[in-house]
Amino acid sequence: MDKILRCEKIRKVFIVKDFLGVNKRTTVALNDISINIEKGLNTGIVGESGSGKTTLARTMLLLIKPDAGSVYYREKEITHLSDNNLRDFRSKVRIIFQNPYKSLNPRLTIERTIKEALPSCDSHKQKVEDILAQVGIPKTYRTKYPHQLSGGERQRIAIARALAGIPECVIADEPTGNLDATTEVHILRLLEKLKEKFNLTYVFISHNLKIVSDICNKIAVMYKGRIVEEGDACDVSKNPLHPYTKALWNPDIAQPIDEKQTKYSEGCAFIDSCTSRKERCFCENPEIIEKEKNHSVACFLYE
Amino acid sequence: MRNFLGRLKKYSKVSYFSFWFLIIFYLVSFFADILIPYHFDYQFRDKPYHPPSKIHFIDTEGRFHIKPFVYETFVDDPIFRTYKENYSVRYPIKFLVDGPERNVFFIFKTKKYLFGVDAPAGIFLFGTDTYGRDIFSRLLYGSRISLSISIIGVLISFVLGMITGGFAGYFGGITDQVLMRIVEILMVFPSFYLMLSLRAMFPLNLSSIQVYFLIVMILSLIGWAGLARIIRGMVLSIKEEDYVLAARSLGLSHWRILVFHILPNTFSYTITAITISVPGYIIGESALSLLGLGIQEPYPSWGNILSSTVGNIRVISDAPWLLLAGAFIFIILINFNILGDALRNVLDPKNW
Repeated sequence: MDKILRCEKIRKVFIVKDFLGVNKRTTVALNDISINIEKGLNTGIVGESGSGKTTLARTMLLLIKPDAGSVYYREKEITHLSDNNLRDFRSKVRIIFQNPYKSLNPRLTIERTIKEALPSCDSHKQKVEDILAQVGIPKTYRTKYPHQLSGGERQRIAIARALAGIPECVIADEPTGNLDATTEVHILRLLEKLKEKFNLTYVFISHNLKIVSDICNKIAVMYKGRIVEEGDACDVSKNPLHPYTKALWNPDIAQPIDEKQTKYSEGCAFIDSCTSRKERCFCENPEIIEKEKNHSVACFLYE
Repeated sequence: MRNFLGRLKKYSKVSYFSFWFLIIFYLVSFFADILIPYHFDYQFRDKPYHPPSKIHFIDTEGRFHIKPFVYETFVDDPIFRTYKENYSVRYPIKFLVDGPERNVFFIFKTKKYLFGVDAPAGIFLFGTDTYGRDIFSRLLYGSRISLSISIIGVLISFVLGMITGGFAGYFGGITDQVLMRIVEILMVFPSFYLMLSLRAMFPLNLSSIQVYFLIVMILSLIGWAGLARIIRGMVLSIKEEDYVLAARSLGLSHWRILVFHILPNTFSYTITAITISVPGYIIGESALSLLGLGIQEPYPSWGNILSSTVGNIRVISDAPWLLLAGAFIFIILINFNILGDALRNVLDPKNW
C-alpha cells in the first residue's frame, strides 16, 4: 500500500506551570504513538475528550512539533523541517478544524479565505467559484464575511479551503463537533462525495464511533495519549477487544472513574475504569500487539 | 466605504457628524490658500490688536444692503488700542476677488481668493495680532501645519508600532526581548521632556521645512512605543487562534500570516488608538511651538499663534481673539475623540 503519512513513536508532553512556575504539571498528550495513513484508506481516530486526538492531528501536520519520534511523508522524514520547507507537504495534506466559528479569519471575505489556500499561480475568481460550487455554497457568498454565515456554511467554507489546491489527504478534526444533527449529516455526505471526486484520503477524528465506522476503513482507538486498539473498521466495531473500546460502544457498561483518582504512574492508563483489571495491570503497561490479522490491541487480556 | 459611513451613522449621529466635520476641516486646511483673504505674513502695520471686524448689513442711515459691508477703521486711542469705524465710505465684502498669485501646495496657482474687501479697509474675521496680521488667515494656514504634522506623525508611529509589535509578538524569543527592551527604554522617559531633549539635540537655526520634519520625527518617535507594546500583546493572543493555525496549515509564509492574518485583526484596536492619539500630536506640536522650539515665525501654527499670548497677560483682557487657536485645538480634539470612540465599535467585524 501507498503510505502517505507515517508517525513513529511520537511523543508530546505539555507542561503547565502555575503562577511563578513553582508547581509543574505535566500532561502526556501523546505517548509513543505510531500510526500509518495509507492512500485510499480512511483512518478513523476515536477516543474521549482529552485523549489526545486533536494533538495527534496537529502533530501529524507538524503544527505542533513532537518532543520525540518522527513523522514521515511518503517515507521522507519531515519532523525537523522548518515551516518554509514544509510548504509542499502542507499543500498535499490539509486539515479541517473542529470549530468553524474559530477557524475562519473574521477579517477575510470568503473569496480571500479560499484564495489564501490556492497556489499563488491560479488565484482566479473562476477557481474560487468552482471550489465553492463543489461544497454547495452559492457564489454570491464570495464577498461575505464568516460571521454572516451559519455554522454549517462556515464548515463548508473550511472544507472548501482544505480542498483548494487538491490535497491527497485531509485530516478532519471532529468536523461536525459543533454542528447540529441535520447539518452533521449534510457535512458528512459532502465529505463522502468529495472523497470520490478528488480521490482523497481522510483521517477522520471523532468521539462518535458510529460515524467513524461508517466512513472509515481503519480505526484507531485512543485513550490518554495511547492507541489502545487498532484495526479494520468492521473488526473494531463488530468485535471490540479492549475494555475501553467496549465501553465506547456501550457507554452504559463503563464504570465511573474512582473519585479518588488513584494515580498509578506505571501500569495501564485505563485502569481506573476498567471492569476486568488484573494485578498485573497496576504495575505494567501493555504493549500494542497484533491479536488477529490487522487488529491490534494493547491489553493483557489478550496475551 | 459606503457601508462604513452607514454603520457610523447607525452607531451614533454625533460621530457621523464628527467624521464629516474632520473631513471638511482637512479640506479647508488643504485649500487654505484660496480661502484666506490675506497672506499669512501680510502685516497691517497701523492695525495691531485689531478686534474682529464688524460686518454690517444696515448703514448709518438705516438702509439695508443685501451685500454685507465693513467700514475702514482708525486708531481711536493709541494707548489702549481702541479702534473706531469711519462711517463715510462703505466697503462691501467681495467674493472671488483678485490678488497676488499664490501657490496651492505647488499643485496649481491661483490669483482668486474666496473673499476680501478693497484697500484701505481690511476684513479681519478673527482680529489681528501684535504685528497687525490677520488671525483668521494665520489660523487656517497654520491648521495645515498642525493637522498634517499630526496625521503624518500618527502614520509613522502606526507603521513603526505595527512592525515592532508584530515582529516581537509573532517571533517571540530574542526578537521579542530586544524589541521590548527598546520600547521600555523609550517609555520610561516622561514624553514631554524626551521631546524637549530630542529637540535640543538639533540646532535652533534650522529652516522651517527642516523643523517641520524634525517635529514629525520627534513626535512619531515618542508615539510608537506604547502602540508597539499593545500590538505585541494582541499578536501574542491572536497567534494562538485557530485561524492562524489554519493559515499555517495551508503552508503560508510567516510574513503572509503576520501581515494578512494577524495584524488585520488588531485593526479595530489600532485604528481607534491612533484616532484618539491624533490630538496628542497636535498638542505636542503646539507645545513645542509654544516654547519656541517648533514652527518658527513668520510661519503660523496653532502652537505659535498661542505662544504669542504667553507672558502677555493683557492679551487675555484686551485681545482675547488671539486665544482662538486654543479653541480650534479643542474642537479638533473633541471630534477626534468622539470619532475614535465610535470607530472602536464600527470597525469590529462582529458588529457588521
